[in-house]
Amino acid sequence: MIARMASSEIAGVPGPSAEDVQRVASLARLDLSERAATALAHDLAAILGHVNRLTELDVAGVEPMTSPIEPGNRWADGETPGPTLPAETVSALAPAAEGPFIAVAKVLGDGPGA
Amino acid sequence: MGARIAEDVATGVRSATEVVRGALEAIHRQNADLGAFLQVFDEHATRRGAEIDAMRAGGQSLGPLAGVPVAVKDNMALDHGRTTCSSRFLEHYESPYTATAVQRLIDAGAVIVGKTSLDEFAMGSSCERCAFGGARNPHDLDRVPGGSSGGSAAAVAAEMVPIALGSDTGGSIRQPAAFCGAVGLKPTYGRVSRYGLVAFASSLDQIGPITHSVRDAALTLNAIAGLDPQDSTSADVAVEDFGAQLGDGVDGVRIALIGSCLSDDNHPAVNEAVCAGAATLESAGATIVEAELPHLSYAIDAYYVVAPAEASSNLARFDGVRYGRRADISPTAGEGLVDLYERSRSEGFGDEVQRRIILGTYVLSAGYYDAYYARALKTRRLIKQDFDRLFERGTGGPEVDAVLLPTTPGPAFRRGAIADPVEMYLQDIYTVAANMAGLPAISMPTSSVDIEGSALPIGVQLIGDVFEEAKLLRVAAALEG
Repeated sequence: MIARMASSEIAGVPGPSAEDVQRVASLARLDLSERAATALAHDLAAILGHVNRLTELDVAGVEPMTSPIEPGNRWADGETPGPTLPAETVSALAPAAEGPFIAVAKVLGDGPGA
Repeated sequence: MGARIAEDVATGVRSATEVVRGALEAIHRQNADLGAFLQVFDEHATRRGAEIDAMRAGGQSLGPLAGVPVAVKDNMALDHGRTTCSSRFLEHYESPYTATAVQRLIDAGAVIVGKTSLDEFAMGSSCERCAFGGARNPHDLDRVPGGSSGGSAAAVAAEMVPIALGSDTGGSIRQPAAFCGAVGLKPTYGRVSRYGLVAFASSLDQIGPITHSVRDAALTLNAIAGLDPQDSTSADVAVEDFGAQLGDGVDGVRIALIGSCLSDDNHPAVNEAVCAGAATLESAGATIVEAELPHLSYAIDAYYVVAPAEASSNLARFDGVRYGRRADISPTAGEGLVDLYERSRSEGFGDEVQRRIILGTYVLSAGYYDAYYARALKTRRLIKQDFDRLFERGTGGPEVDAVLLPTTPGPAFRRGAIADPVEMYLQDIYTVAANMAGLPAISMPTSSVDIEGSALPIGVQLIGDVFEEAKLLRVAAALEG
């Protein structure tokens, strides 16, 4: 039952490269070192190599199942908003605040990171 | 144990103050070795115990969990202390509100004595992937308690508390319960509100109890189950007394034994425990039906696509802006908001969390979505259909009431023994299917195996049909002996 996988079984399966991992990390807003990206590329190749067993199954015509609750989540009743947190509670949670506002880094500007 | 405490407190045999003091002493005596608790609420719990005693003295009615010390996994919000998820990202985070499930326990009279350790953001099977030190197994301190609710399971097994809450996304209640020799119940998806549970994978997460007995599991579920307007996935299904059938026995109950799970790759003691469990149930009047779940072996592969995909989306909220860790950036060097996001997340998340975010983002990205994510969701339907065929009535199928299989492939492993992520993920091979199908499942401690001088617990798992927790607990009670 346990589908164990020797490393040789995935040797021939092309996994994501370190560059692929860096691209995905950028999408996920993670700052990876080259070394970390290389290690993660290896891990992902192993994991996806195992996941590739799913190609053994004929899933033609099978409806994807996104949730155990079907047809889906329950909608909120009516249009009255529920209780919310006071603004001062929310701003107190923030790493930096100015008065009733959450302080963030400059969003608009001239630098590449702005 | 929890039920007995509540009875004693209600009848005045013991005071809640005395019970809470005993629990706090047990925690402080053992926690340096076990690491089960990340926070202990001495003052708060003592005050709460005194309040319950005052209520009794004043003739007020007490809840069904009055005075029972309860531990809460530290991924559930509580309006005092911190809610860290064992992550540097939330190291100092103080929730302004309390999770519904926890509040319902408090309303039932439970005393929350502390928050327990977990793998960071509930991502792990060993309670080693923790930013603040992991928990250890009370049966052998060199071994893991399982994960991710390892602290909760260790706290119950070491008799620090009779009841703890865990959360289960792919086995995170049942696997640590099995490793520590406790009862671990994952209710049906939607049975318990997740409001205030820090989300990992929203189509899979469910809160449930870890206890010493089936009766305590039922008592806890009675308190926490039910519709919650704050959680759109909580089910509008009547909450029954989940302990009402515990004495009814299993005469006439049909149990499916999944033969393919008795694998040679399992530790022999696991297969022996499952067979012994089947024999126990049969001698108590149940009918054992040999059956198969043809897509069960694919559940682990589908799970490790779906869960990271959902995690990558859920954890996008941790951006360093509104709460949690914020990295220092240098505006004068041209660094801006994107640098703040990237630096905060990279500094705040541990390796396993980053691995799963990257994996989840990858399988959702253009060019890979259909190959991985869509295919995993279709496999998920096949897994659910397998279970439906076993449970369905009037279709000529096996018409079983519960499915019997192992909880884990083996007993608790040594700390540091599993470094390979795939090998670690395979620890969940028997537990993820219940999450994928949204079914209730319970791990029962039925035996132990002697390894290197330690008696290590073995758990067996029962999976029931949706919202049939009362029946599942009734069958589980027959395994208690």
